[in-house]
Amino acid sequence: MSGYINLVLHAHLPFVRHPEFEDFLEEDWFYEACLETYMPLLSMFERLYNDNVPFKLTMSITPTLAAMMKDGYLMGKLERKIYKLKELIGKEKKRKINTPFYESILMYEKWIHTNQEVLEKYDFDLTKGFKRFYKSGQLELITCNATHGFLPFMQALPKLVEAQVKVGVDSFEQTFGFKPSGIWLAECGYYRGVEEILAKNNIEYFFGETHAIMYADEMPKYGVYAPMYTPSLVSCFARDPESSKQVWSAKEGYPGDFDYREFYRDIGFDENYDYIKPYLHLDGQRRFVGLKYYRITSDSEDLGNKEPYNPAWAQNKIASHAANFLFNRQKQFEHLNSIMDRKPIINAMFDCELFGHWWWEGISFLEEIFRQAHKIKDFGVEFISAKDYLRKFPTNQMSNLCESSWGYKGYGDVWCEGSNEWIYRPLFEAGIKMIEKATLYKNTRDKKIKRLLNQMARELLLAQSSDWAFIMKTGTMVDYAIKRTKLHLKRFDTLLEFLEKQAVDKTFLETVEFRDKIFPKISFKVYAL
Amino acid sequence: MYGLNIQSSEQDYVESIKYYSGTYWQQVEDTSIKECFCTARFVAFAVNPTDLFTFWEYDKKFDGKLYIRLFDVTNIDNFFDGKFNWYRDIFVGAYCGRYRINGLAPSANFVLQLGYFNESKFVRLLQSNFVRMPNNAISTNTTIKMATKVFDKFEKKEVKIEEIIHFAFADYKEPSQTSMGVI
Repeated sequence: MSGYINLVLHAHLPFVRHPEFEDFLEEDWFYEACLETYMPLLSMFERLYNDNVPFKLTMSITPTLAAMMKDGYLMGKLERKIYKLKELIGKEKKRKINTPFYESILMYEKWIHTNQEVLEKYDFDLTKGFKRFYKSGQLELITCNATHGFLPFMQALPKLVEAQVKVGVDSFEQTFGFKPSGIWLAECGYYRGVEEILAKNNIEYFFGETHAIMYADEMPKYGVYAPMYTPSLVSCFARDPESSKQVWSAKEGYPGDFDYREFYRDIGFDENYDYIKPYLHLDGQRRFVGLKYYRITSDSEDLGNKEPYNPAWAQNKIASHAANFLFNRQKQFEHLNSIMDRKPIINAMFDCELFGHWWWEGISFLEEIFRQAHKIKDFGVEFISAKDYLRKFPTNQMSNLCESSWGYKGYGDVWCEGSNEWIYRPLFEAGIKMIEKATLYKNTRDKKIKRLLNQMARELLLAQSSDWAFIMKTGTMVDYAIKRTKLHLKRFDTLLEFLEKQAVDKTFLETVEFRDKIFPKISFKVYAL
Repeated sequence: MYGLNIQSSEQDYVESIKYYSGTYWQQVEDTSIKECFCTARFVAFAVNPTDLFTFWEYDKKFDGKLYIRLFDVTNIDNFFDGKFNWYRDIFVGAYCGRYRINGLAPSANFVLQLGYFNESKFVRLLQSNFVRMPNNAISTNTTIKMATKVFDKFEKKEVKIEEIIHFAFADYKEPSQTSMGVI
């Protein structure tokens, strides 16, 4: 009994970079994800590689995240974060000796030291680290549409989708030095027809939600356990709900185990204010600083009732959860082998930041899966990428797939409801204007006009990010999401006004270029008809 | 001019800013955007298998009562010749707005018109794009196509597509039925 696991991690953050402020709260999303997820992942790859443990997984690194991972300004601030954390951990080590928290502090000491090594090893550019493991064959890297725009809502203007895809593909190639064979459509947002645009960009496959295949126009022969070709012969690999739920679900899944670290109890709130203040933001408000000393303990949401975290207990749970994950895949394979005429593929797809950031032990869990699968052959598990699977099994069912997403309820509800539906009209108008002007000026040789149009393209792309609508819906940091949407649309309008009046305020243009510094090689012509 | 605090060099600029505090961000730059654009527009898209979202604007001053007429054009090839399955009218009033239409049939196709009534006759002002609602169930169609795509290092090409009758993944089970629990 055997089969393939296609482990896919979708690494994404919206482009949040504010050099105009000395200290900016939302940039923390990036620093936290680097320290808790991306850098520990690179360390994990290194350990497995050095121990000759075979591993294979796929990562989609979105163009916005890749831009941040190699941005000197952000990486410099990340280094300062590391120094501050080292200082705090040093103080904590002295203060908490002979307390139940000491083992946790030693764990954090090792963590921050390893992260610093990773940062220096890859010369302050994390994309180099991921590229290294792509080159050595363990990591499949794929792209995403440029700014994670939700494509199904752009289908009335296919040029907008084309631009999202083409800029995503080009930007990936500029970062990693090769063309991506696969793409992660933002939010797994698929609509019928997008595959034609993917095919034009030489994309072989994309990842979709379960019912992209299950609700296709013809009954799926293999369910989601084999890819399905679209009429353009671009393949869809759909999410296996079972393996996902075991890991995703905070209640039923592994991350909610009582021995794992409690995310919401942090010394940023627990410690004496004057002691912790130097490690807070400049506004002095209490927030997470990243050191958490308690375990989940129970179902209770009362943070006061939590017990000290014990890294050794958590490590034991990781081993048993990894074994359980593989055991359940083995059982899935037994069932699938009895009804399929080929080896099944289980697409285990996750948000990358779940591992490490939300679920502290998640990176160790992944590592343990690879180690146990290698050690215990009886599991019958092989890890494979979508690209390699297609070469082993080039014959697949072909059908029209179902429009879908991996958001709540499986379609577009998250990104179009009462709190955020107002964005679609102005985004559409900006899109129309962009296409109109790009078409009008596609043969221009005027450098100023090109520069204006290129910045308009950046502003439009940044405004389209699905993150803003998502944040408006979820209700935290809403002001920021609204501001970002409006800000990029307003900047777009201002630049459009310059273009129409043929009068450029150079200072304004320079300022927005400086602030929204992404896609340096973009050409506005991606929008031209 | 634009409410931006602009300095010539990046470093000076960064240093000129004191620090972030909640409301400061909101004061930095004008972010007012338009809701109406003085442009005729009528766009619709499916939000889920039963709900459709639309926004519109009629570019001329209009004092009458505006309605959206929703046409079901599922399996209709010649809508422009006046063919459709059924229609329903929804009062929307404003010349510029947005609306969510609920309770539609999955997999159906729709097109919308914005207009008004003149002596009980619907007068069309604008027409939307066509919208296909997503599926929401496993298909009962068991006639499937298998395609083979040949990949090699430098090029890829299609080889064949064959049709297979009644050979579907009929034994599909819900995910929870395939796993056997914990060790």
